[in-house]
Amino acid sequence: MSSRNKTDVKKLFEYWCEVSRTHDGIEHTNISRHSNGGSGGYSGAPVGVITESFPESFRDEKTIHDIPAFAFPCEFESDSVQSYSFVLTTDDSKWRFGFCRHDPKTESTMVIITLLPWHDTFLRLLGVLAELRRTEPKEFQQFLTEAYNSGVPDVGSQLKLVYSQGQSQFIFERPKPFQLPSIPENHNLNLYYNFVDPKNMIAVFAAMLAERRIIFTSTRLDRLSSCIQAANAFLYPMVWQHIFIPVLPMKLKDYLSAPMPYLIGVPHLVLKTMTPEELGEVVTLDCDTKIFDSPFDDVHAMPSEIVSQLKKQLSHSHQHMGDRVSKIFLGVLVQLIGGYRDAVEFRETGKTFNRDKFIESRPSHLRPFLTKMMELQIFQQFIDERLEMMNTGLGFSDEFEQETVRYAEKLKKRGRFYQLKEKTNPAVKTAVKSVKESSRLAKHAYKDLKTKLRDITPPNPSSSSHLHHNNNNNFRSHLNSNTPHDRLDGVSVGSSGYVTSASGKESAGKSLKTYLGRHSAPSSPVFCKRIGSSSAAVFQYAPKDQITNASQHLRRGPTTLAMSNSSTHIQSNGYAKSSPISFNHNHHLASSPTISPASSLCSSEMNLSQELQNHPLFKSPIVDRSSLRSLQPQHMTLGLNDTTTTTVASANTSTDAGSHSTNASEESMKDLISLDDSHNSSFDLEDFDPLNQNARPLPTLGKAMNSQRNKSTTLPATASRTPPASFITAANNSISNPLYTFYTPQHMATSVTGQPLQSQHAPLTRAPGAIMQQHQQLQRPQQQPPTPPSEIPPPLPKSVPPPMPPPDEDFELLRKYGLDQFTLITTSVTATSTSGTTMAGTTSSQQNGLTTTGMQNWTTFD
Amino acid sequence: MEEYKFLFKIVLVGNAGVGKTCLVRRFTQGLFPPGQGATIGVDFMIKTVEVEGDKIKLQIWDTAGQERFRSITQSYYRSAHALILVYDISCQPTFDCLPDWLREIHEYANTKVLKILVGNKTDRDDREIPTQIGEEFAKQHDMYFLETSAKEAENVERLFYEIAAELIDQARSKDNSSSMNKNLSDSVGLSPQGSKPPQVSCCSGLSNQSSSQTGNT
Repeated sequence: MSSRNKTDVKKLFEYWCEVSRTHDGIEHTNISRHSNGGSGGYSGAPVGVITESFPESFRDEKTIHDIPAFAFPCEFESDSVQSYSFVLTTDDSKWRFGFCRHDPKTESTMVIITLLPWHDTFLRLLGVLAELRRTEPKEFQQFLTEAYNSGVPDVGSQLKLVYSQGQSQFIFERPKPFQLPSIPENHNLNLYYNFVDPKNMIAVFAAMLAERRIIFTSTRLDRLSSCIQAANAFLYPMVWQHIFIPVLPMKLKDYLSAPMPYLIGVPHLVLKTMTPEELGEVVTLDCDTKIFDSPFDDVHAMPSEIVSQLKKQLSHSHQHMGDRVSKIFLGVLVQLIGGYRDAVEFRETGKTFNRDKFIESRPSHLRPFLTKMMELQIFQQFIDERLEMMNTGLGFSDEFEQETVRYAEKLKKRGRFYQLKEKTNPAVKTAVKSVKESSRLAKHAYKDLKTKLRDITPPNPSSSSHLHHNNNNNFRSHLNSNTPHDRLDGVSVGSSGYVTSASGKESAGKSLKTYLGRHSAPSSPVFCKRIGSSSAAVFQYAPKDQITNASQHLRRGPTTLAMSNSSTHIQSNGYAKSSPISFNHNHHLASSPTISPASSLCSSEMNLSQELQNHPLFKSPIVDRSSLRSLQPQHMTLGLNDTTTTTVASANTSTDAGSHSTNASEESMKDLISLDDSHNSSFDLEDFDPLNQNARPLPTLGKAMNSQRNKSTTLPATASRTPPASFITAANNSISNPLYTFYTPQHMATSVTGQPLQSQHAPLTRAPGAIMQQHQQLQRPQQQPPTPPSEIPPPLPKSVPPPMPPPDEDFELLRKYGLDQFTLITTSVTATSTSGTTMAGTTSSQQNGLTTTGMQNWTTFD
Repeated sequence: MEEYKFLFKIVLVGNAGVGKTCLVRRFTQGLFPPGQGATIGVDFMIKTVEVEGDKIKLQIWDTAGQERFRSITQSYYRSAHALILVYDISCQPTFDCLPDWLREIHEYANTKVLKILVGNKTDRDDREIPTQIGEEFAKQHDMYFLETSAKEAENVERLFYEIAAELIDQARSKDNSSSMNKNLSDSVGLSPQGSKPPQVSCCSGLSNQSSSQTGNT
């Protein structure tokens, strides 16, 4: 990310100055560099003069010469204070930033020149400086000098400067390395997100990946520079290598005819002076009118799977708080180039990158695009830098590499899947058909299964060690549903039938086919109906207008959660989404981050069986035990056993559960509604922007958003932690989660198949909570997390006294690893299962076993 | 706005230190200016020349620091009308890199883009690349060839005037042939008053001057 940022910066800033506007309007202080160019007519370009500066020792004439033009690039709207930034390119192609604060009252602009890309810090600093300068000029000098001489704080540390006689302090905090821009903390992203539609974001992203000549335009300078910066940030881990000018001064407008790629923010007034002929083939995005114009069809040139994945994920706007949006784009790049290490070859001269090898190792649908991508300057620079790091033995692990590692496992399987896909297509169809039929038989079979499976169930080694956590029944029940996998929730109920049936059919070891069979599920006709019962409605994917007010809010509730956190699940799922074929499979992988090293080493069959066994579908009684056992006896049996148990319990109480959850949800409705309103209607995203002068004060909500962990019940984020919010969570899991979009059909399927089942076979249609429990149980075998990242502090449902609230640091760690959403989902599940548990709790005998498992999960989080 | 009939974009490529920037500055200003550098990572010089009565605006682009890349990729050449590939006659490695540069140009640039090979620094007395070698290389690859000295202003004017003449020939022949290549419309033939539609240039390859050059595609 830093390939164009200076690395050995010694000073917080290089130069501070105040540029005042002169009124003669004719350029004389700034000599036109291209007097030959005949591009006269700079009228409309105000002229700025540096009236005050610090320190005197700054002697970079070139930079000083250029500052006024960038501070006053052209006439611009100045009804309010505007904060914007410009970029100067140093001789070695690095970036030097100029942060500006224009005050319309004084008609002057305060500028800070620095090599540090700390946009938010410096824009904030400018505000403080302006205030100080106005109120306490003497202290202003002192403060500025102190800041200048303080040096740059190390990673993880911060620099505090006091001002106003010690009453206030300003903190320079070095941004965490590899931190993705997030909403609302990142000012640039806020503006980009606010003013650029997802559709245009994708179009710009595509144009950047084609290295076009790209122009953003706006009447406002802040919007302009922020959008340019934010758009570039989406390229991470790559960096725009070409001409990069967030704000183009009028006098440099001829640079718009550059024949090479560029990304330039052009004030609207400047752009108006250019003719289409002068601009040539240029991609234009008007950030004010939201009009995107391009002579190319770069979006179409991208793999359609990638595009639809982007569209889908970006359409879930309610989940975009935090670094979610950044992660969506990062996810795409991980998919595209994350596997670059596979093509790194070891030579005597060092490590090299083999393009052909890389292309060949990619899924076929990505190859054409990747072939083109290999030629990109931004990609070559990326590869060069990574290779250099490898060759110099520099260890590196940034967000991108971490994502890639996570994704690698899935890719392996996906590769296998692709090979099999076509061949097994007929089998898939058969499997789907048989699903329907087999589901009917499920009821009869499952009892038998249960007993038999129990016999082969190995004792859970870790369960006993966690027994001390059994504080009370209530708590236990929550824990039961606390496993990360319950996201599968009811979704899989419907599909379980077919999966199991498929496996039964193909039991002779053709597990792969079974596996594939699952994939066809979404397209199966089975999935196009909806369930009507109240409990089932939780999982229903209904258009907004069709659902009740309450449910709307419920659905939004989890959104907030998702926004403030991001999860492995989401990510992995996001990736999975890119190729519809693999979604199930990725999902399962994703849902088992705790997968043991041993398991990842398994043969392909083993992996498959693992997945299968993870799949809630396997709880279905109809499964041919022998085949399952042959696949992976231990896990299978474990999972099945637990599942069956749960099933029984929940089946008995399914009616209860339905009413329970309904009541509960109604109670919580009020809170949720008001919250929702406050969040969605009363405040704009801008209001969360610490740098937005126009932001309205956000009493509690704002804090909550920032802290992300506010426990207050009034927060939408926390709302879903309350048990009554079970509906929300369920909805979140299955519906509003962008990752799960591919699950939707299954969902529907669930409801569909669920309906007939409900009447015929109660066990299969049990309440969501119970289902979740099942899932948890299924996941249990893999619940011993071998790695720290998987240790997730589960947010506790409000009703349950939290035994140990997760410390912030842990949360940050999780965030870093993208696991926090994991927590979220767990939370939601927990909440959901609360209702489920309530009912399931009636059968205490089963509860013991369940509790143990739940406990186990819990302790791992300590 | 200055009046001109055609606007051509010329891009210089070649290893660092071969004197690209000096070449441009010599041409556009007739002297070496103090290093102005580019504060935005790219710089261009504009010179208006007159060829056969037509005013031609040459925009010569020089991307500061871009040569730090081992390779400049397709996007760099995309909308240029002419490419000037420069090496240093006193520096063998800069000549040895030519095939690499060419490979990329052939691969990515418009196939009919005008290509000129320039051996710079003829003022140096430690020549490593004989003129003949350079000539032959240019011939092999269907390029114009010229040796220059930015320092002595030798052949610099000629270089750019020949480019202008060649480009205008291409543009005119394009003008005559009704089939205009739309995607090159940003190879501008600008008429200041808008009285004339933009003329497409540079891609016709129907140049009289160099059948060898255009025959390569």
